[in-house]
Formats: sequence, C-alpha cells, structure tokens
Amino acid sequence: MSFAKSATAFQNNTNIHNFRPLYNYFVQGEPNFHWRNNVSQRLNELCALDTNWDGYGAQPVNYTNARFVEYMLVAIYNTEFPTPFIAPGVDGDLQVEWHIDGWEIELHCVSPRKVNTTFYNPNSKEGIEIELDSNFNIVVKWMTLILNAICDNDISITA
Amino acid sequence: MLYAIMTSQSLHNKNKIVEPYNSPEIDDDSLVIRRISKHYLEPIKGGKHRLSSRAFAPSSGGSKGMSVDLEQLMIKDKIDPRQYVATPEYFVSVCFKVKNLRGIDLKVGCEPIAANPYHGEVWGTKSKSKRKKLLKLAQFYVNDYAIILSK
Amino acid sequence: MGQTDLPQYKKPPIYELVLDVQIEPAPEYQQIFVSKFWDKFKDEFPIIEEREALDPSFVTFGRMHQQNIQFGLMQGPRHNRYCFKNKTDDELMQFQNDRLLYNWRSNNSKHKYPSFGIVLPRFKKMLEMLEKFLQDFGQSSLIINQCSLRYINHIHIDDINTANKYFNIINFDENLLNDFSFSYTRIIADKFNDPYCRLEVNASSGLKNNHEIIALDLSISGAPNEVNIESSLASISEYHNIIVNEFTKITTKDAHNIWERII
Repeated sequence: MSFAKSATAFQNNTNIHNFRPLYNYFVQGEPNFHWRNNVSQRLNELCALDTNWDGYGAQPVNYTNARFVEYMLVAIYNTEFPTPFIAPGVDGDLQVEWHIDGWEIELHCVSPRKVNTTFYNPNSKEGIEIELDSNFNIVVKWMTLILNAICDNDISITA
Repeated sequence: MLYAIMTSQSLHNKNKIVEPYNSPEIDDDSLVIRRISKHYLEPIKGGKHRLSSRAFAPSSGGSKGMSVDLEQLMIKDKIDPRQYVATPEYFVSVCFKVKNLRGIDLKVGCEPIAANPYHGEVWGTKSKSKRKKLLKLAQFYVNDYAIILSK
Repeated sequence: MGQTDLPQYKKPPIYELVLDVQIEPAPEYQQIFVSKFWDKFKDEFPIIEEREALDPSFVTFGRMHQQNIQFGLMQGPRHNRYCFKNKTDDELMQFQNDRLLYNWRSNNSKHKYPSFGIVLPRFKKMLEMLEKFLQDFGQSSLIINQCSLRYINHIHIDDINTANKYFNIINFDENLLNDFSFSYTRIIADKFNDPYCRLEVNASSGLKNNHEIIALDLSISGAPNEVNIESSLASISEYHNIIVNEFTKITTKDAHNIWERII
C-alpha cells in the first residue's frame, strides 16, 4: 500500500527523517514475473484503443478494469503457466484467456470484482461458468489441474 | 429511398430500441457479416491464429446484441459489401448464413444506425456455448491477410 | 459489528487515521465540477490543495504467497486529487472522481484522537454528501468497489534498544540495534474460509523532532459485501475491530499501560 494515501505521514512532514530500515524480514525481492512485459504491453495497447475500434462503436478499454486485471493476474500468477491472451470487450471490458491443449480458462472482467469465469476440461468434456469477485482460488486450482494433466501427457507449453 | 432506411423506420419500437426478434426482411439464405478486429486474434503455433470468444460477444448497451452488417441490404442498395466492411480498420471479416444462426436459436434483426444503415444485430450470443458454435459456423468473408484460424 | 470487549486506550499513539472508499466514477462527472462539490463544505474545509490522482487499487486473493508486482500501466487522462483541509489542519477530505478519503491527523499535541465512534459518522456524512452530489451526474447511488482503513501510530521511545518493551513479536537480545523494521500481511476470511480483506502491518524506527519513534502502520482493504454506503461503513467498522485487536495482540502489556488501556 502506497504512502501516497496517507496525507502527510512521511512524505510531507519534514520533521520525520532517518527512516532507514535495515531489514525487511518478510518482504520478498523482485520476483521473476515472466508475464510482465507481454501483459503490460498488451494492456497498454488495449487502453490506448480509440472509440469504435471494432467498427461497431466499441468503447475504449476502461483503465480501472485494466488495473483490476493486473491485480487479478498477480493473484493467480504461476511461473509455469504461459502468458495469457487478453482480448478487449466492446463495453470497456477485458477478457483474459488460456487455451492449452483443449483446456480453457476465460476470465471476463466486466468491471472490477465482476469476473465471469469459464473453465473447460477436455477430458471430462465438462464446462464450468461462475462469477468471481476478488477471490481467484478456484482459478489457481484449475491452473494446477491443467499443469498436472499436461505433465502427465508430457506436453510442453510455452509462454 | 435506400432500402436500409425503409427498414429502419419499420422495426424500431416506441422507445427507439430494437427488441430481439427475427426480422422477416432478412432472408434465411442471406449472409450477415461480422468485422473482426485484429485485437481479437491471438497468434498461436504454426502461424495460425485463435479467435477470442469476445469477437462474438453481445454489447451490454444499445440493443444488447452482437453487431453485424447485413449483406442482403447492401446488395439491394448496390453497395459493395467487401469494401463496406473494410472500414474503419481493414483486417478480416467473417460471415454466417442467417439460416444457420436461426438454427441454433439466435435471432437476427435489423438495427440501422446513423453511422451504418446496414447494421443488424444477432441476439442470444451471451453464453459461451453459443459463441463456440458461432466459431465453428464462421466462414471468412474478407481475409486479405490470409489468416488461418484454429477452430 | 460492535465488539463489546474491544480494547480501548486513553492515550493511544495514533498519529493519523485514514478512511478510504473507492467508487465507480459517475458517468457525467467532469473535473470542472469539483468546485460545486467544494461549495458544500467550504466553510468547514476552506484550504484546498491539488495533487496527482491515486491509482485504483484492488485486494484480490489467489495464491498464498502473492507477490507485489506492478505491470507499469500507462495512465490516461485522469481526474486530479483535491485535498480539502480544515483550518486547524487536523482534518482532511480528499476527493478524486473514483475515490473519497478522510484523514484525521495529530499535527500537534493539542489534537487528541477523537475516537472511531466520532470519526465514522463524520465519514458517513461525507459519503452521503458525495452520493447526493453525484446524482446530478448520472449516478443514482455510490457504487463502492473497495474500502480501506488505516491507522498510523507514532510510538515515542527513549532508545531503539527498548523496542522489546513495546512489541511482543520481536526479541532483540543485544543493545546494538541501529534501526529496525518489520512487515507482514494477513488474510482475513469468513466462517466459510472465504477471504474478504487483507491486513497489512508495517513498523519501522526513525526520528521525529530529533526523538526516536517507531512508526506502526496498520491498514486493511477489501470489498464491501454490497456496493452501498451502509455496507461499506459496516466493513470499515469491522476493519477497525480487526486493527485494534491486532494492535493489542502485537504490543506488550507494558506498552498498554503507557497508553492507558481501559478495557
């Protein structure tokens, strides 16, 4: 959480100085987030779309939605999973997708905390459609399921 | 008077919103065209592309359908549909036979708008399963970039 | 949401308190109308400052060891953040098109923490005022997608080596401490084990007016059960309970005596 939120706590109060933490016991170092460049490039590209980018009057991608997608991806990030494809929607919405060897995960972010989610398992031929808000535990589980299935079948997936 | 404008006057309800319905003016054997922005295409292995299901999603505003261009009306008005659907951004477009859409319980109707007198709507594409069916039914209408779709 | 046995202190070391809600922007609102909003409370908050907007932030849950990653999204045109201060400089209302914050802060020893029971209704009034204002801009009621509560405490100490006296989660056994800091986060889940908010605790030593202090910062953010004012205030009230309990849990009885714990 940014200190900017606090009006004055440290930044603007000249009386306070010498905050030099020696250790950050629980803070992890900069993670190896291999989706970062592709995802950030894609989100920036989609946020820069003009109105009517689809020829039918579509709205530009909503910046707040794009920010929510960032937070959602951070919550589910898995180093072994490939970078998702991100498609724009016509109402400023976004859809994050993985299609791997018949398996499908689609996270349609209609607005922050309204994510229509679909999962398809090619083995059981079963599809699940649910709406998620801020808890993406089930998506993490699906990703693990896909990775395990792919490992069992000795199929490689690329980022 | 343009054929498209004549239809626009006959199909809007009192609230100037088109209710989902099957327009009798649109023949079963005619084609509806859906322009596909490049942003819907995911490059995949082997030089192919995968089309996102968002490409066939309905809008949450307006008439809440998937926007299309009605080829039949353009032909009647002597407009070249291939040129027409190439704007504003030229990429690819796909088409569906109206009969096939109605065959999977989708409704196809006219909704001419100021910017596009040949605008129509396909209603009922909200569910993922319907959009998957659409992906299977879609045929290229304009594909100058020789895109190969993985279905 | 009131917890009857919630610990209470006569002299809590609170330096600043921030209540924050994030809203969906009203469709027809534009920055040029901000003065109309200010007109409604200008007498109470006559000083204005303009700052860069805060970026939207969201608490999400998924993997256990969630990493703090920024993608570097470029910002499009955004509404500025307006800070409206009162004359005594102990209250601050901050507004941008997708956010409303209220800060109480102790800028000098005369400013005594007014208690959460007074602050929360004050924030409620501000939210209601904003809701009414935005009705003229196509938003019939506020759509609140996240709310937060933050307490920043300044614990005055004689010597950094006495930090053990205040915190029961640290145990330094040498008198050679120069600085220290710690931080952790905790996910708060409901009875069905569904997470709904995240607590962040940060502490670090430093100097204030040439005296050593430990800044202890506790904050919670999450989505309200429903997007309206009432539900958001209920969440913030619950966050208050969680923060007070956490503060009490990680600090020592000796420290509680210094802050004159009542309950």
